[in-house]
Amino acid sequence: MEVNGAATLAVRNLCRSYRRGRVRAVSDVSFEVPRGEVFGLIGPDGAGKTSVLQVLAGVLRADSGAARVAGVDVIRNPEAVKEAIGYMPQGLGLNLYDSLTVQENIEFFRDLRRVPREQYGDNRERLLRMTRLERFLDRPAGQLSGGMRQKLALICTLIHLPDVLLLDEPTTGVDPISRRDFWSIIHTLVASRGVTVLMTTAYMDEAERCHRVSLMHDGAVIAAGRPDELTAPLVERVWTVRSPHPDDVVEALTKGEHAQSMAIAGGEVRVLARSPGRDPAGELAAAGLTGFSVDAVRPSFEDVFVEHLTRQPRAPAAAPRGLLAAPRATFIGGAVIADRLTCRFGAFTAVDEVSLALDEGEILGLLGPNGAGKTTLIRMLCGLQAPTGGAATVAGFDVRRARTALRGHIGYMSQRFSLYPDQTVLENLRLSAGLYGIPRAERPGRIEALLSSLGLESLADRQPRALPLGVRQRLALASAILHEPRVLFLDEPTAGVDPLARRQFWDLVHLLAHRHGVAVLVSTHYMDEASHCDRLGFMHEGRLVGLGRPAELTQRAGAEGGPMLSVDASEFAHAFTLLRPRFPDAMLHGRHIRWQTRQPERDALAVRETLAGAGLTAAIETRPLSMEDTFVSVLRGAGLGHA
Amino acid sequence: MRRLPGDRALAIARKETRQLLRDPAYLGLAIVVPLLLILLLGYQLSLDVKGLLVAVVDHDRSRWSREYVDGLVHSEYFRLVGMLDSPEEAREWVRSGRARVVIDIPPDFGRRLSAGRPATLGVTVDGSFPARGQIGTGYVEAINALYNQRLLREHLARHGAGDDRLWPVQMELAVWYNPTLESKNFIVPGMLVVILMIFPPLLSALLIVRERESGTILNLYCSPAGRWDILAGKALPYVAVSFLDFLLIFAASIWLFRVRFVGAVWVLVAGALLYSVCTVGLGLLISTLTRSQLAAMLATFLGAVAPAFTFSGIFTPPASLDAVGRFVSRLIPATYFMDIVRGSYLKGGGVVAYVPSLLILMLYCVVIYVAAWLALRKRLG
Repeated sequence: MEVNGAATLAVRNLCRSYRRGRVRAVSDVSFEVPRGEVFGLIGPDGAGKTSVLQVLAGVLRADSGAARVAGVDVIRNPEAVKEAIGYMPQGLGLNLYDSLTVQENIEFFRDLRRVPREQYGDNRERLLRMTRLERFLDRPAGQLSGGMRQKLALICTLIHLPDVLLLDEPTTGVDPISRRDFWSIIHTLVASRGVTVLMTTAYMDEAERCHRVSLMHDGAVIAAGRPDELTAPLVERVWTVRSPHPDDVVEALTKGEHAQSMAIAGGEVRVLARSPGRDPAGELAAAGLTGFSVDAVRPSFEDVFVEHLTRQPRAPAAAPRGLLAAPRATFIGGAVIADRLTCRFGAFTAVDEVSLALDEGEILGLLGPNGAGKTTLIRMLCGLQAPTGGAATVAGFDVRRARTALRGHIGYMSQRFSLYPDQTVLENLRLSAGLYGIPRAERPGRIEALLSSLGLESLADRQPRALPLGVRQRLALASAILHEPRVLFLDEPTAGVDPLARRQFWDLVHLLAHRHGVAVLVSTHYMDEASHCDRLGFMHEGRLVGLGRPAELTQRAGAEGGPMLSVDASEFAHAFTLLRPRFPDAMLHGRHIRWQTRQPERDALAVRETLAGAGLTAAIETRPLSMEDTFVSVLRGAGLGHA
Repeated sequence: MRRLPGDRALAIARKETRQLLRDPAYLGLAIVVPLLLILLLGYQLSLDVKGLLVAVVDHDRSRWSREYVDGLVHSEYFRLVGMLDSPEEAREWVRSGRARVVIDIPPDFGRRLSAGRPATLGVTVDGSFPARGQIGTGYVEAINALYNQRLLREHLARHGAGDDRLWPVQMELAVWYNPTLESKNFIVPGMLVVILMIFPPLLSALLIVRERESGTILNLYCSPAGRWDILAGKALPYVAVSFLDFLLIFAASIWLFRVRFVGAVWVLVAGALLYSVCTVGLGLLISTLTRSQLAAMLATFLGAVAPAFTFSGIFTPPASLDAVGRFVSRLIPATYFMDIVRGSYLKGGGVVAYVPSLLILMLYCVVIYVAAWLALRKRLG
């Protein structure tokens, strides 16, 4: 098999399986990356992204197929590629040595890579400046925040100026400011040195920041191309329907032929139509619905992914209409009330005076990077972690004093998979029923009812470890609501889950909150999940830095800092070097150059002048802020825009 | 700038050293615990039975019984803990461990002896610890024999006869290498061998598997560093630690425990260096073959520590092991280092005597590191 010699990275028909062929991690994957391109492998956990990267890094054997990196056949000669590559493993700074300081970590990689002195000096200085880590040279890597670790890991990967960068989920769980720094470094390097970057991500919204992408699912590439090429077929196929009764909208469209997939998010139904051009209004009117409004929306990468996964004939099971049997209960004052809740571990403050109130029937999302304090806050509210300051009432119980009584009224789904992988689904649910003291006689009935309303009754005798992650998370949710709690805590329930399964999960959360009146507190580090929440809190370094309806937060940030100006120039790398001196906030976002500005018209004019002087043309548009833009804007507003 | 071939190994060694120096647990296991162990064992683990606790039930209370008890008490081997009234009380003392030996002197002891008739006394020995029981019995027998000799000598003197004809064969005893037969001269050097087989391999066994668990191993796999670079870089600091342990234990043995040392220091040093390279390499080999730190530690215990304890000859000379034991003892490096150590401390002699053991240790080093090189794949899975 031959692969293109001109491309810096070329993979053809790559296959790799684990456990003696029982698990196909990579099947028949092909792609090429020319020099100076940022190429993204995008997909959920288990899609096979990491295996592809490891084969290219020469540390994993392929079963079959061809792979060339920087002119070297990696399959035949894995050692020869190692001078040319920089590989950054998955996980926050997992290539770092915690007891070594920032400086010592960098030195280790310098010596391991035999970086010449003069090159090292310049490169180190530049990288430290870009990452804003100069001040922390003497700090052990183990005492850095997640974002800082990830940036140091990047420095260590880049210190020998590799021609090819292989980055495995470099931005997962990283705070939005570090994530921005990260992308800015990558694009600067690509523009200035012609580095070739292959990176993986589970965030669909990062696709736009790559020059080209492959969407991966179950080891195979399901779509590939430039980001705009991938979303182009979905233009005029994605609609949002605003209605006071989103469930009725879903029901009406489920019966019809128009919709291929639907998702309820914050009072809206996002509809993916089977064919372009026709909006769902006709079908809704025919079903007798009134009081709705329909808008065409720009298709997202999640839509692309979902479209590919729902091409097969529609699954027969409709969304469940009920999950709980007990009538709604009412709390006095609110389901969750936290007042300056604080948790300190020694000198470290994990949660810093967080105050919030959550009503029944409401979904409150906590959005923040790893280490922001989301998990600790949830644990305190569940009575699993004693607060060191402040007070909280959950379902009417004081979390300090009535910890045991509290348990029966709340459901908690922990970050880690909470079912026993080697017990069957039924055994797991029975255990959970027993632990929560559900009367013995009621147990079989309740378990059966819940499984059937989730459409999972056929899985009762299966072991969770053999099930896909998305299904396991729904089962974990079932286990957490078996005792019909009135307050539900979900800690990163969708991390690593594919977009379709994520939508199914959120449908259940929506049902629990809006139909059954359960108060739901859910944490996530996916920015694009914000739209599923009624209210949103940004968490950063233990503090709650913003709280409000998602649209309000975005509007407020836009009103304060202006919209995002997006420049699509003919030669984006050249254009970027021209614009950067005038607009220091400008960032490369894939092929686009973007910055937030209070004077978009004036800036646009200046851009045209600058680019015209160099003979470049550009399409300029203003865009509303994304949730990540909003988060960054809120952080900057709170004076937290440091490293 | 010209590059030396080993500079990547040095980079790894520098990193390992820094990690070692900053981890209190590692540092403790590397330096403090070995030293503590030799101090504890050197002071406490003595096979010499001295000051055996003895209780006496004297129903006789005569001159004779007093003299008999004096014979016991005036030896350094016994310590009188009490004169008791009844055999029941004595039994209770043995049971509770307040006494290890009970001498029960019957009421007619003195009367019978003065009448020239034989007397019987009861001796009870706590046999729960066989070595101590045996030695205790031996001591009592010896002291009993001395008492008999004395009675006989008095008897002969009273009848005007000399005692020369009674003990015609006199023995002139010469104990070589450990003239005072003190067990510390035997135990402390033996412990040196075993301790160097415990801690250095236990720590080096974690070096690769730990990075595999944390994921940092990919830094090495994805870099151009060769397998020798990785092995040498990881071994170097721990060989140094092992040699430092050797120096500390050696110093303690000479200046603290005053163990005899008659051999050539440099032979011992050469042996210790080779042995350190070898034990650290053994740990590294285990580390390349295991998948978790726990497995690596268990494998080290079973593969390195336990054989060294059992078959190197620390307590029992390999010659007195059974055929299988002798075979195993030939296979493990500890046996050969034990030969060098015990020889250097106690026997001395020329370098030539230790050349075979030194060569075998060298061979071990080669075999172990080649095996580790073969086992270390710069690949996942």
